[in-house]
Amino acid sequence: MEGIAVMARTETTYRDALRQALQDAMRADDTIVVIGEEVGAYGGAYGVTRDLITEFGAGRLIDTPISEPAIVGVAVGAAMTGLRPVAELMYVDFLGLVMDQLANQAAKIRYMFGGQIGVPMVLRTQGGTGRSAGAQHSQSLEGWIMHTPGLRLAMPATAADAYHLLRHSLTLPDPVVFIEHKSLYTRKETVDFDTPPAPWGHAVIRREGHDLTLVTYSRMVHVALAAAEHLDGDGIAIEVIDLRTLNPLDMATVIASVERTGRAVVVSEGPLTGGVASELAARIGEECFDYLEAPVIRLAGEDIPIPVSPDLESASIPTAPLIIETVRRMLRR
Amino acid sequence: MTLPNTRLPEFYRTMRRIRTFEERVAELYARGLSAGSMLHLSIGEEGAAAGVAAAMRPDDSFTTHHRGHGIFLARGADPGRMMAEIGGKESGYCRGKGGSMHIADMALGHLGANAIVGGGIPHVVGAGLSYKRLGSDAISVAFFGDGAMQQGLLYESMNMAALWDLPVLFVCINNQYGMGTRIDRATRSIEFDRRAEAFGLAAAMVDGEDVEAVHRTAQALADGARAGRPGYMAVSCFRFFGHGRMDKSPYRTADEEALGRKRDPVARARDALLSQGLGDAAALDALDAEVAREMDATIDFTAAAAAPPGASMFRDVFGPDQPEPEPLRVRLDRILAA
Amino acid sequence: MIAELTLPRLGETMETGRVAAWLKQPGDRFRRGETLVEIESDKTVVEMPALADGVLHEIVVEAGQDADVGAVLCRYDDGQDGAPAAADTREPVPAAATQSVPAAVATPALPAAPVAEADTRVGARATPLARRIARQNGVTLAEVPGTGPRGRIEADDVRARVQPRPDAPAATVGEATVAGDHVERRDWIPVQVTGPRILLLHGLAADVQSWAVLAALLARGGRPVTAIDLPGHGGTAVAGSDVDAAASVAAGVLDQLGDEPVDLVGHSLGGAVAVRVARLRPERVARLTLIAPAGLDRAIDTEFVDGIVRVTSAGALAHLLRRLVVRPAAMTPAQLAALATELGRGRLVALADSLADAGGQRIDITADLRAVDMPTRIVWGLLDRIIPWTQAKEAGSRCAIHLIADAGHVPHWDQPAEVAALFR
Repeated sequence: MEGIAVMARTETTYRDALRQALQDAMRADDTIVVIGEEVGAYGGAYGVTRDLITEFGAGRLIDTPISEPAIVGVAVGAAMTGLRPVAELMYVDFLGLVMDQLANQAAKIRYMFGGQIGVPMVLRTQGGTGRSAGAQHSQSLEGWIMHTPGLRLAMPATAADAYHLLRHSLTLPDPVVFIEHKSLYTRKETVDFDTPPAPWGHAVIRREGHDLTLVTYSRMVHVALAAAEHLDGDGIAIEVIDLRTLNPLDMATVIASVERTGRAVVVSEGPLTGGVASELAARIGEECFDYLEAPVIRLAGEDIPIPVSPDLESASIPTAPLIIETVRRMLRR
Repeated sequence: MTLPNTRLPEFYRTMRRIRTFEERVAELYARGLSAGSMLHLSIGEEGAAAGVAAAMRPDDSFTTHHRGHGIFLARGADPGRMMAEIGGKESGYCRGKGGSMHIADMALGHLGANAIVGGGIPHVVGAGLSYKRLGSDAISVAFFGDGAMQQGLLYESMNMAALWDLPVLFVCINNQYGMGTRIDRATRSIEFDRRAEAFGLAAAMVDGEDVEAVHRTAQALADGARAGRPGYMAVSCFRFFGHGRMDKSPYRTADEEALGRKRDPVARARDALLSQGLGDAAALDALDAEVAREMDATIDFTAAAAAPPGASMFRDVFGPDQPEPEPLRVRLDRILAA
Repeated sequence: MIAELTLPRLGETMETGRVAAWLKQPGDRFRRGETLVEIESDKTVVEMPALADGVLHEIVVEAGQDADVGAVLCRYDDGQDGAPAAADTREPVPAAATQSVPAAVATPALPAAPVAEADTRVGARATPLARRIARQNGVTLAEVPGTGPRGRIEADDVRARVQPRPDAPAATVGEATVAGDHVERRDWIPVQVTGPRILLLHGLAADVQSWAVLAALLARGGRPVTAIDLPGHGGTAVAGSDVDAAASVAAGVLDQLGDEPVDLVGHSLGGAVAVRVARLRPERVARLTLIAPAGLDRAIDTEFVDGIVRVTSAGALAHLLRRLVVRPAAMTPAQLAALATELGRGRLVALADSLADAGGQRIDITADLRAVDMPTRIVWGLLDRIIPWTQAKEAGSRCAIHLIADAGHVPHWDQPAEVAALFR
């Protein structure tokens, strides 16, 4: 690696880890370009691409007009013809604008064309609540992506995963939707830049326990861990699984855990109905049926648009107290 | 023997092959050999396909709309493999998974036909970005119909192509109908070139009945695009048949159809060849017969071709590093195992 | 909330039982200890007492039908709010308190619809993991009492069956050897020991099985319980032709029950044996409880004593058994025949003859009673037709007397909860 030597283990924010991933990847692969609104001089709406234009120039940090469908469509075409674009969608909520290019085009091209070509692009975006950004800027739409064959989906919970999952995404032959969480950008932790916590597509057990399995991803990992820590004080040992990627989905880790604990709670910020939590619960129900001691419980976002009021917003998604209460009721202690 | 200083014989042959191919597609359907009935024939639009394709270099790329058989054929596609794809066979261009509306071939620069109106347009902008970034002087051409002229994505794409000076050519094949809606019922603004000019594109409109005029216009715009001046052209023509194979065109009169079918680029080219002494009727008839035999063979080829193996259903959803999706039946067998 | 009454294992070999009769009908209110149902096992007929006050909701197994051990016999509302149903060790809730709950408040605890639907569901309600463990270990789920939400059978419930833990006071088969002879023994082990061991000595022609319901209740209340088959009875083959012989065997077992003095209980003939044991081992007996004891006075149903040890027909046996308890003990003809055959062997004739003759009882325990000084009490059913309860007055002023209404000669069958309550 040329330029600044990166210390193997560094105290880093989630945001800076993402930037570091882009910087390292762009240095290693000059076909990588970033395309999106305000990715250049502005440095990204959440500052992820800040200053990258200084090193890589406007030819690789490509500011676009506010034309989300074309941003993704252009990335698809570029990916088919030799570039490895990182399209940035400022808010995951804008998926509504780009779903044709993402779901009908990017996701299906390899398959429709009989495997002739893939679409090696990354759609970076961010979602979730926590900033009173309202119903059109706070959603968790990973379910839409997970519901679309042909799209890979990464949702890092930690700075280390932000770095390593993004680096790996930029080596894959298919479109990867990479959903960051807006409330995690300032989260700081020590990151080992050399070694990923686990290979791509593998879940990580963030905390071991034998009483119950919490299956989650993205910011809810930290909520689940807080709940588990609290319950630990009561002698209740909770296993917390961070899925890291939703496609591929590491059911093997989930199944092995639930077969040990006999109880599972799936925690997702996205809306309950027809969502990721529902899919996971259904799979656990099918795969672990003979091992279940209690119904698989889904803790997910309420089936409502996200309200702006901070009080209402925070009450609309799963919280640590809710997880604690749910676990206690399931274990009856 | 010296070659005449014209490409009209070549264009005629291309257009005749397109027309005959499309007629055989209709037959394929009638014989029950087509995969489904989503068959959009480009009869009447051969001039646009042959003329623009002739202005492209082998390393150029393109995307088409759902009525793109002719363009692909003009680009040099093997009609047998095309027909097999339309028949959903393993020997088709996309191993039977794309069909008429998703046919593609990277070797011929075909980045894909598209079943979403306007869906493939931004891809050529992306391709143009690649060529510019990677130092290639190839261009990328988007073919679409007049229906896409009312899609917002076209204008986002035109805007970006012009903004970034990309080697891109937008080609609207205006066959007057977006499905059953004639263009004058879809927009007040039928001067399409003015829309493109408004974004800063070099723009032109041309009569698709005159394949040579189409070619000249396309060549000028392609050269400009190759030099970083993206262009737009609208080729006017008439869709001889319905939107789909089964569409009996209740939205237009027999008179309108009869009149429209007089705008026949194939007949016009034949007349021109005869009048310019570039061919005699017997030779052209022989050519037509040879093309008919070639295209007849595509049906036999398709009829004899094998269907894709069942296991191929799960192939190519993702690249080779990711396991294929688990078939439902495998899952059932595991979960419901006795 | 709705609780379930399941069929307990009334004998070690019992796999199924038949509901002989329901004494309560849906909608009937009952008090804890009241008999809800009579069950025929392969050995005997048992009355199942209510384990809590409640209202019978639904009869699942109708009279005349067979049920597996553990199967739900009926569902009842126990008047509790949301708590798990296995509430037999709780303090009895006075019926008046339950009834005083305003209907509007009580109604939510009586979800009639789900209960009405319950019998359309398949089999026992168990978690998938519980089913899997049961499958792997050959456990019949219907035999497993569920401790989970709404009585759901959970993994631990099944594991307890697979590898019995002291959670559920299931009887364990044991044996003792006294002077080289085998003595049949049963132990009921509580989760948490709250008091001294109780040693139970049965009456004439009975065996350890006769204590099943009371012993389980006592064990749930935290008391280790041991019962033995007296000589000539059940699994204890050695003959014993009088009270002294029986007492010497019982004392031998008592010697093997640890250092702590026990709570010694004897019923009828067993009462006389218990007093003699207390005489023999006063330091080993902390308290003496005599249920309808023999030997206080002359009067006794000699026809019963004479008949029970000499029956030759099932019909005669059924006739005699009706005298024992308040409600007729229903047994299948086969069970009656088997017991009749066993008794017809005449093993107990000598013993019975030593107890009574045509003139009445021949034994006298009053001298022994006066000679012992541990706390002693007499328990008697007011409807006893074998030995009149009035003989309790012969026990002397030192003895406490507990009279139980609506109970016959075997109050721990007629009113087991009330008997058990005396041991708190």
